[in-house]
Amino acid sequence: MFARRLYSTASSASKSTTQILDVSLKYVPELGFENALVKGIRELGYSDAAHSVFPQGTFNLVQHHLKQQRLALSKSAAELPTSTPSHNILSSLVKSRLRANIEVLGSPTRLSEAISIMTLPSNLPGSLEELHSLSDEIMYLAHDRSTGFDWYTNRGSLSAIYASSGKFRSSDSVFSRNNCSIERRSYYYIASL
Amino acid sequence: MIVKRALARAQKQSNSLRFLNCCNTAITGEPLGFVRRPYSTEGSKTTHFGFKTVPEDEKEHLVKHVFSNVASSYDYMNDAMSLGIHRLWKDHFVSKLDPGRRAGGSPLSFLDVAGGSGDIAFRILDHAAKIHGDHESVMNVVDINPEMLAEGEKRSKETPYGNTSRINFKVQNAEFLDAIPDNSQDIYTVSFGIRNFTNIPAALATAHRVLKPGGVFACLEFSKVDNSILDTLYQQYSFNIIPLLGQVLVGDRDSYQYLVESIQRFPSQEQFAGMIQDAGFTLAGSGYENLSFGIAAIHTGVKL
Repeated sequence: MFARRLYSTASSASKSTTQILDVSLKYVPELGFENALVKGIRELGYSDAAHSVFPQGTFNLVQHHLKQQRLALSKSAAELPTSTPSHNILSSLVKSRLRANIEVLGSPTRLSEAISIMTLPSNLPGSLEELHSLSDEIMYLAHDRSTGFDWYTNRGSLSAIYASSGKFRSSDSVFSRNNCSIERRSYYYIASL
Repeated sequence: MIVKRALARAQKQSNSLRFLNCCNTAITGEPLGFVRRPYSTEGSKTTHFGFKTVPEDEKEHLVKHVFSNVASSYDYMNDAMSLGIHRLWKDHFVSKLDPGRRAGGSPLSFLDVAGGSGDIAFRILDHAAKIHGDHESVMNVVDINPEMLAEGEKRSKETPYGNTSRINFKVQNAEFLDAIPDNSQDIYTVSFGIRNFTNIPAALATAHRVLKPGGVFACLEFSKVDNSILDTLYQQYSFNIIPLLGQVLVGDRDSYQYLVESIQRFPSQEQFAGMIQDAGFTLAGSGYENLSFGIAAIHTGVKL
């Protein structure tokens, strides 16, 4: 009873919280993050007070979305033909990730809402951690074999490319122009390695 | 040195006769001063009362006695001991909990346990009204001690909730909560009360019973200071200054000696978070938040 747990008991706890987050994500396109969370909690029959299980509120919902999309990347990478060169895998993964943002969140307004939640100072460390995990995942799936300091610069640059493209997309601009810019940037980048 | 100690002991005996006669007569049948017994007095189960070991069935009575003594000067002593910081802790506790009916939902039911004086109860109702415009949620205040509850009822008359149906006062034992039905409360709060309970796991299990699915258990309590230097200073302050303050300001050293000893006895943040999880609650993150370097901590668990 008084023992300190040496193993993580997160699994049983997160099952019910993940369930709430999954249900809430479905309502994000129509209601926005704040109301979607409330609706998700109510739909599962829990008291309104259950929002306390998310200490950072709507940011936990945004984080859940980011994590789901990052884990889905390995599936998209598996669907590409095996002979694709690195920079093509890179650009196609970044594009599919950006596309997923719009698909799941419904519209650029929800995406800009997510970005504004992510850039709140108290949430910034969490957002940056997710961004770095994302660029790490993409680089790994693009068969990056760099070592030493290159490992860091690659991922840092990819984070910058991804973040600026994402910001560009959230303002509802022309998609095709943005697509070319990602390909151009990733090509130049890989070529410089 | 010896003379000083003898004098101190004599003074302790004369000042504390009222309190000690009661508890020592109950335990040993002899009306004497402090008698520390390292073994249990009867064959029954024992528990701790500060640094003393007492039979379990006596602890409730002893705690009741402590709080009957301090009821009228409770807030005054709290201010003196914590230099007013306890108000900040309680404000933070309530704003973190963020109680109140959300748009499109039904009125909530709050339960404040061992909250006789009404500190947290009034803060919760005010927060709900101010931040969420909730004028319908109901607050139930329960306490094992009728004097503390009477104090709370007296104070509630000065709030807008005074004689309305929005606030109810009941004398209840937190380990049973007989008058509270299952799955009926949205928020269960206990502020600086749980360390006095005889059987904390039973109280946690009862909290789990009375909360609705999705309901929150929130506990504000003294805890272990995380920094060892600060901890030394804090211990010095607790054991030397607080009982002295109790003696000087309200003439009751022993109740405050019990207070600091019971703080020392309370489990650490991780241990208590483990107990909350064992009772069936889901923790948010690590389950606790330290206040003032760990002097106090807020533990939260949700019934999911």
